[in-house]
This record gives sequence, structure tokens and C-alpha cells, in this order.
Amino acid sequence: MRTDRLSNLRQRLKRGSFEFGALLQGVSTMEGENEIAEPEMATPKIDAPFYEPPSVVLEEVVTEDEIVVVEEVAAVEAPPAPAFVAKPEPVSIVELLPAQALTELRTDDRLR
Amino acid sequence: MKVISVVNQKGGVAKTTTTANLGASLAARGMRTLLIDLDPQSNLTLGLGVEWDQLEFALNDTLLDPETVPLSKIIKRIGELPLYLAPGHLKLAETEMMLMPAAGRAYRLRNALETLFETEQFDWVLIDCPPSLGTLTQNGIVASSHLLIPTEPKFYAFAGMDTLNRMIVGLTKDLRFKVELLGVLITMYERGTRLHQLFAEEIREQFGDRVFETVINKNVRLSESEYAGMPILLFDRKATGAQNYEALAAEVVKRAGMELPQNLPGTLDLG
Repeated sequence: MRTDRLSNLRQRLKRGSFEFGALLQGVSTMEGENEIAEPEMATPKIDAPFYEPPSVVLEEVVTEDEIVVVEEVAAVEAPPAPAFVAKPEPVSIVELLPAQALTELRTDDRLR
Repeated sequence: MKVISVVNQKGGVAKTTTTANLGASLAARGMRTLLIDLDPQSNLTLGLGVEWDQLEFALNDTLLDPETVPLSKIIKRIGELPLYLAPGHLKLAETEMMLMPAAGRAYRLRNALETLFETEQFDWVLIDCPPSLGTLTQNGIVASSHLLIPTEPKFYAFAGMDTLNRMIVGLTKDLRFKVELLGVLITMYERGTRLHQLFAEEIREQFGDRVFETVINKNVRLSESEYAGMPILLFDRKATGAQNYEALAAEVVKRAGMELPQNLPGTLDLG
């Protein structure tokens, strides 16, 4: 029984997809024996499937020339700069109040 | 000089134990040996008796700022042997993340070693890689001339070598390096276990003569030596584990075609 199990294990090892080629043969990626190796670039490897974002309809692009034209038109149609506006003169409170209120106000003045 | 990464994606296969004890056995032969602790767990550093609070700088500082903190500034001598350690630190995990966006991040250790070798020479440099396939392990592999793969005779460790193989194939697309397999080392072996025998046979069938003849047997004295903060060679030379690593050192020297040690120039003997 035990021998059978070991025999099965041996067969599994034989069937196993173990690979030792690089170890057995050795590896060399050096072009020259005395050549100084260049440092590798830190290039990330992307193994994940590439994600394609959904397409987006963009608005019509306005070119630089068109912008200039728009600015020129805007300049023509713009209203003229406002003229100097004189500071309003102070208004007497007597002119703003109705006659009845003015009478009451004068009455109060007499009581004081 | 040989720069060897001790590497396997699977954890708990005796990468650190092999780095420390193979290194000590090589140094005991008079060979100047540098150990590099690239693992954020820093068990190699702790297992050789170096405490983090004794360190002004560690390998994480070198990888981030090699000009201010070159390797020569962090290396410690271990005991009386010509054995040296570039200590690791828990902050290496943070360092790995900080290096992620940096250009040339996989070449940091290799460049630091090239600068060190301008003034110091070693017979052997052994790099203890973390049990992952991240930037730190890439630094180890790219800096190495050889790989030594410890593997427990179990399925996950066996599969870990397949993963390592795939990683190396992947690195060839982006990085410039040259590395070959020094050997596969069967560790934590229990002779009486049929499953271990089966996997050991399978490993030998797959890797042929690339598998070291030496096998590291499971031995509690190896664990005890780690607790004592010293290599097994200094802890108990007669232990099975010590004898295994002595035999491995002899095989490694022979396989790498290394000659007897010479008096290499360097200034780190002051440490």
C-alpha cells in the first residue's frame, strides 16, 4: 500500500511540468565579458487587460482664428463706456415727506 | 574569486545554515570568505553572533546609499578565521520596497561589490538570499557568478527550484547578467525516510551530476550551533553536520576549480 503511494508520487513527479533548463544550462545576457551593465529602466509591466474608456462626443473645437474674430465682433458690439455720472445732490427731508407727516413732525417739535 | 548566491524560493531549506557553515569551512581552509546577509530576517547575522544594536550600519544602508555607506564600512570579521560578514537588518524589507521605483535597482549589490573589490579581494563571496523572488533576490543573482541551491528532499522545495528557474528566465528579458549553477545540495536529509530517498533520487535524475555528492543530514547540533551564535565547525567539529559541511567545502573547491589559498591583499583583517 505504502509502496503504491510512493510509486504514484513518482509518476506524478514524472508527469509534472517542472522545468530546470535555465538552471542546468546557465544564462548569460552579457554581450561582453568586461562590459559594464547599463541599469535597467524602471518600466512597469502591465499584465492586466487593457481597459478602453467609453467614447465621449466632444463639442466642436473653436480654433484660435475664430476666437480672434469673436473677440473683434464683441469689441464692436460692446456698449460705450459709461459717461461720468454726477453725484446726486442731497435731498431735504421736507421735500420727501407728505404734508400730514410734516405737520405731525412739527407738532412734536412744539411739545419738546 | 567566485560569487555564489545560496538561493531557493522555498523557505526552510537550510540556505542560511549552508551559507554560514560552508563559509566557515572554506575560511578554515585559509580562504578569504565574505558572507552577505541579504535576507531581511537576518538569521545569518544573528546566527554568527552579531547583534543589530552593535551595528552602526548594515546592508540596507549600503543598498540605499552605497557612496556614503560602502560595503567596506559595514563588514565585520567573524572570529579568528578569515571569515567576514556584511550584516543584514530587518530594515532590508523596507529597503526592498524603497528600491522598487529606483532605476538600476537590481544592480545595487553588484555595483557595491565591484567597488569593494577595488581594494579588497576574496576567494569566495557567499550571498544568503531571502526565500522570495523579489528585488533583493534579483540583486543576489545578478551579482553572482554561480548559484548554489539547497533543497530539502520534499515536494515544495523541489517545486521551488522550478519557480527559481522561471524567475531566472524572466530576468534574462530585463537584466544583464551571467550566472551558472554550481550545484544542487540536498539538505535536512533523513536516510531512513522513504520519501526523502524518493525525492533525492528524483533530484539526481533531474539535475544529474549537478547535484553535490555530499548530502547534509538532519542534525540537531547544527541548530544548537546557531543558537550559540557560531558555525558548527567552531561549535562541534566532530558533529555529523560539521563533517557534512567539511565534505561540501572540499567538493565546492574542487567543482569550482579553485586553487590553494593565496595571501590576498586587503585591509579588513583589522576588524
